[in-house]
Amino acid sequence: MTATYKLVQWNRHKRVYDVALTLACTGYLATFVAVGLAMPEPGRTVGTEVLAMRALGTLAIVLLHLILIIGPAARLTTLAAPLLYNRRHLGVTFFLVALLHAIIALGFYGGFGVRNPISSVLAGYASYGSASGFPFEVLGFAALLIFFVMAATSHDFWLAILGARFWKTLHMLVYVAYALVIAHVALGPLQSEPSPVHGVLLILGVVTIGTFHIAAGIKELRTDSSAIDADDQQWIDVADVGDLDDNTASVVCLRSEERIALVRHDGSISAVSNVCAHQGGPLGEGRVIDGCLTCPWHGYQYRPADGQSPPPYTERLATYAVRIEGTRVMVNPKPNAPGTRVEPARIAGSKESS
Amino acid sequence: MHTMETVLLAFAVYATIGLMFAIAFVIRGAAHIDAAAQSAPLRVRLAFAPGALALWPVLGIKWARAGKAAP
Repeated sequence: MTATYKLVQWNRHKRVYDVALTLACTGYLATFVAVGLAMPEPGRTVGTEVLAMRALGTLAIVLLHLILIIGPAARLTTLAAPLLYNRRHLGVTFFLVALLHAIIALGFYGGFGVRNPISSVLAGYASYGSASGFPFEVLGFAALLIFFVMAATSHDFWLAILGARFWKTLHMLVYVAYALVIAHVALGPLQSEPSPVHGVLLILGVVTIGTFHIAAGIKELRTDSSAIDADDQQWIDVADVGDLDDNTASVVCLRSEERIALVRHDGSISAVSNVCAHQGGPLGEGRVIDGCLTCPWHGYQYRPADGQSPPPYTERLATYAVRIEGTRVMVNPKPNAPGTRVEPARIAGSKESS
Repeated sequence: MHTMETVLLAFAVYATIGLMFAIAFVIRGAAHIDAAAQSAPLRVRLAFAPGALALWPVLGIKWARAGKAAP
């Protein structure tokens, strides 16, 4: 959060995530190269450099698909939330893998002449009119530039100084880069690949990403269509107390496209904006940890009663007045200024923890 | 000159300017634009250098505006 900046805000979850990611990546690379050396393709001699380049390239493709699936998967199931929590590290790891792939490719295909390797590979030949002769390296290079900008601006500092809208737009370029990568593979390695397996896997990857995005979009539309009409109402009936689990939150959608996170904690119910001040994560899908509503995306925390991050952090959310009538939870849909304390509605018969 | 070589030359010029800007940004600019970066150690501000290299035109404008707004 924004009190000051650290290189990485380490916690146990991130350490476990990074160790697992590193082991998985090195395991994949070692297996790919070992299998390639042990079982050479008939009639084709492939050197270690080419094997390493292919291993890194295929690993990059796998990681990119995983990165693009995590977002919509987290909208569909909370099981994907732990993966989303540290997607930033996954993204930077992916970039480093893709960069290594590019460095080896430049060295191997352009490093033996008198020309600059980048110029040699990217401007050495051009047959834009033919699929088999298309300079697919240019597509990969363009994608790598986009991934570089994304990785370089993945720290919270960039979100703060560029603003959420600019930062988000910048990072949505991942879809442009993904299209470039698919074209890079389709017009490059697949052109000389005798087996259709790789082509089928690539199509399967594209279809999987598309399916996850469409399914998540349909779920969002359904949530919006069940929104509560809050026009001209001072108090709206949003839930039954019995439907809210302790130390969790739930989302309430209003017709005004506003979303509220209802939080049940310590025998009371509070309501804050559903939109995390960090990257717009869905707070209503979060849990209460250490007395604070915790965003499922990156762990940003807010006190339920006043929507403020605990000191020294400075993020604040809009709050809403809540009252309980019988077993029904009533919310005033008019938001209070971010950080305004609102007395939580006490649940009859519940005990406050000390 | 080949079109792609021209593009690469323009890219090299952009990156060279970006590299010089990034050094200045790490030393002074980051803390000038964002107060929270003032107390960040040098190794953290060094991590901002690649982003500064890539986005130097945007950051240059922000730095200039922050300089004007300062009392």
